[in-house]
Amino acid sequence: MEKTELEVKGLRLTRGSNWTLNVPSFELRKGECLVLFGPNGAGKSTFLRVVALLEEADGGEIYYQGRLIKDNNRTELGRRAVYLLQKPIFFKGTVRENLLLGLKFRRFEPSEQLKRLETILGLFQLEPYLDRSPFELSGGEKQRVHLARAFIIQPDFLFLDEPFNGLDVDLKDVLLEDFSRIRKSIGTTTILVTHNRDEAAFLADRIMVMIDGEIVQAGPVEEVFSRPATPEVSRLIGHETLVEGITVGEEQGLLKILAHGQTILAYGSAQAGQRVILTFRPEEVILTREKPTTSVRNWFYGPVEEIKSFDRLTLVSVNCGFNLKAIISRASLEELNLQPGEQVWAGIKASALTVAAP
Amino acid sequence: MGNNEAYTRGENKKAEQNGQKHRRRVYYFLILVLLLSLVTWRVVQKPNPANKIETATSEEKKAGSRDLLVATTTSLQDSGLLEVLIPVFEKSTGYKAKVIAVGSGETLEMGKRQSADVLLVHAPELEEKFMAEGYGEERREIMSSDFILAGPPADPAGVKGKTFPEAFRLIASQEQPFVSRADNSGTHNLEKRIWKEIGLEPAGRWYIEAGQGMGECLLIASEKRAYILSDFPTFYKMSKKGRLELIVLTSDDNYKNIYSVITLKNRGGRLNEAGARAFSDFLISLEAQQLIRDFGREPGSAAADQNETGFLHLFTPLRLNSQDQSD
Amino acid sequence: MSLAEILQITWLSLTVSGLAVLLAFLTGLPSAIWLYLRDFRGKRFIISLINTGMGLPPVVIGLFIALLFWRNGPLGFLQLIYTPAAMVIAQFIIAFPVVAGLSFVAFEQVETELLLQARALGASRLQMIKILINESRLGQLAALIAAFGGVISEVGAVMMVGGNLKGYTRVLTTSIVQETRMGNFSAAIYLSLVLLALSFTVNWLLTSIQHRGETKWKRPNWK
Repeated sequence: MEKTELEVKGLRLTRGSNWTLNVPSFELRKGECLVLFGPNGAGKSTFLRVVALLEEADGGEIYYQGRLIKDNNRTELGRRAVYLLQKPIFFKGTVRENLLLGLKFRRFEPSEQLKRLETILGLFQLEPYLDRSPFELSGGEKQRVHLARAFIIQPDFLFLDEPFNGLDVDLKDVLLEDFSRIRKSIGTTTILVTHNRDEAAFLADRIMVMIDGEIVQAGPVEEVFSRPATPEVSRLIGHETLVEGITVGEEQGLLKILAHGQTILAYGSAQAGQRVILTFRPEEVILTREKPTTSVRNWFYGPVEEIKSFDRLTLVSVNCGFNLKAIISRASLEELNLQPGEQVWAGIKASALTVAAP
Repeated sequence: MGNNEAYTRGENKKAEQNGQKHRRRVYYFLILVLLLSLVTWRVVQKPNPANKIETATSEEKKAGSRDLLVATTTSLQDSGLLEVLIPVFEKSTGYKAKVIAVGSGETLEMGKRQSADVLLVHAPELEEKFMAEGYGEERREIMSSDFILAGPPADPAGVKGKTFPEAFRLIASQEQPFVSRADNSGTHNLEKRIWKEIGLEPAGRWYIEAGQGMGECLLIASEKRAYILSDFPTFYKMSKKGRLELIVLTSDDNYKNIYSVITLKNRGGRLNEAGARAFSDFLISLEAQQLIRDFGREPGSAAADQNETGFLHLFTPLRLNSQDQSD
Repeated sequence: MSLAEILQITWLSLTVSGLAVLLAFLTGLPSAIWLYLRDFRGKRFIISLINTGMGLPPVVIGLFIALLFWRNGPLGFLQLIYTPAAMVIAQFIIAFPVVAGLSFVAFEQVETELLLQARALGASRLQMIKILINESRLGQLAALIAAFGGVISEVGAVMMVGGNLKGYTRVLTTSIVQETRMGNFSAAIYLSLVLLALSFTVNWLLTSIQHRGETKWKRPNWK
């Protein structure tokens, strides 16, 4: 049995007149990485600050490792957690001083401070920047120092508010991998806020979707990604592909839509000559090397542009005159043995398409 | 380790930059000092009466000729007498008198520098020196006021009714606190004269040198329960406000506060000579002399206090009986 | 004026103003911290009061102190009027709003998220205050420089409550006024230079401390 490390009961926090954070119950297992997913203003950051003990809720109980948080143990238990703001904010002094700050707050012995510093320097490759001011560093370097000063504490809990936001893609990929590796090696129980699907898919053991202060779905990545509980979650999660087209007529009760020189069949109602937007979800797409003769009505052909692999899922972008996105399992990817630049067939059922007016 | 070395080198470089910065600051400071010294030298140079200061043109003189700059002492300004005299002067002559009130010493310095057109002072010794050095054109004594020795009502030194020299000797021998103006003013000069006459050089904790105006010194004397030599008009004005815990203990007719008007030798043509002369003439006129005599005699004021203090006038005009000798 | 006398006057100027600023710092900084960290009704009012205090003419402060300490005033029994202690009190009252007000501004310029991050890294209240002070160090020293510059060059209040008594409460500014009144301009200018040098030296020291450890002046290079 995995131990419950963090528990929340009946958490309520009202902000303004029409917004309430409401989490009746929530649990986090030891070593787990939970990704808190949701649109802007959904209350993710507030929830994070409340469980990090930086803000007090109107009501509810928070347990750290089985101990109820009260006023008299707030600072003590709070020190088991580290919360990192989205923006890396540094204190006056060198990178070294910034890294050691958390240990100094906790009054660690100097020898222990040095030991930990060396470990963390190795993990994050920060050696060359040690005596520089963090303000002189580049965005990626800053973010590493930001993360490193949390890991150096080896906290029981780590709460991160969009730590990879605003970094350029290459840098982000490297940092994501470093982060994932280090987190696993230290075994820190983590909650991470993001509204980036790739990050969520890559890092999460479990995903929790929060909308308007309420948890609408929680579960393993595959489950949430493949079976969104509500249309809202689906809109939030899905790598939807959007295609613009013009309705040209009807065929066997299906709308005939002309888009990018191809005819697409979909269910829906629209006048002929009307402009429409077609959307479909990436997990509905089938990828094959050769066009099969199945009931699938719509087939597109084009070169693979990008393949992005996460733990169990792979996101494939195909250029079929428009940018098509597909999510397939790792197993199917290996079977297909796809490489960027290779031609591929992408199929989608008429029933998986949504037609909307622009 | 290499890292450490680099760090140290960086430190050295920083220290070097700092050093340069500091050196630069020192330069700026030296330049500042130099500039100020130059200014000082210009200002401190004793103006020589023979020196012709050629700065103003006759046009400028004409333009400013209705304005008259009167330098006087703070104590005379504080007395309020000028507020009575000046409007009458302005009305009868059409000049616009601007009164600058400074210390006695500064008044005479202003005269030497020709920063004022006419002086109204009361430090006879300094004035005589000023005249002897050739700065003044004419000095006329216009009025006098009494000096008094004030002190705590208990009068621990027992100076009541004594002459000034006797009183001073008593105070000094008992080392009773005594507040000195110590500002080279007329009153201070008189005080120094009395000490000199009795052959004493006052020093010690009892001898408090305040270096301020008469009013401030009276307040200090009151707070310190000390004796003080004061002109009567200022004492009267301050005690009327009810803040002083001092009473008049004695006065001495041998020592009078003589006020003079001094017109200046016009060097360089910058002075409003005509205005200065008009002002001087006005002050010895019958009208002004009567105003001086009557100043402070409104009901319930000095005259009413006569029994208590023994004084009838704040100021005694000196030219009231010699109106026929026109100057 | 003898050299010993000038030295004594200079030393008194330095000690009176230095002590006043020190006291203002010891009280003004905690006041500013309290004001910064607490939210309460009337906070704006207090801030406005402090800002007004910063611009209060020294003579006005001198007058009020004198009224308090005169023998028949409410605090007359302390017998402080015309003593160096009264001068320190007057200058303290001049310096306090400067230190408190400018320190408060310095705190306000620290990013609010910085304290949140400090807390989130495990800082206790005291450690957060330490961080706050350290981050606003430049501003704190600017407050000290402004306060010291204000009181060392101030004449109205020390003249009124000190009395310019020779060898006892005479400081550089009051003796400059006196020498000027007496027409001794050279002495006055000499004393002004001493005051200038003193003020410069102290400010130089404070500025050096202020910029110690700063990697560079944070402004674009004009070369």
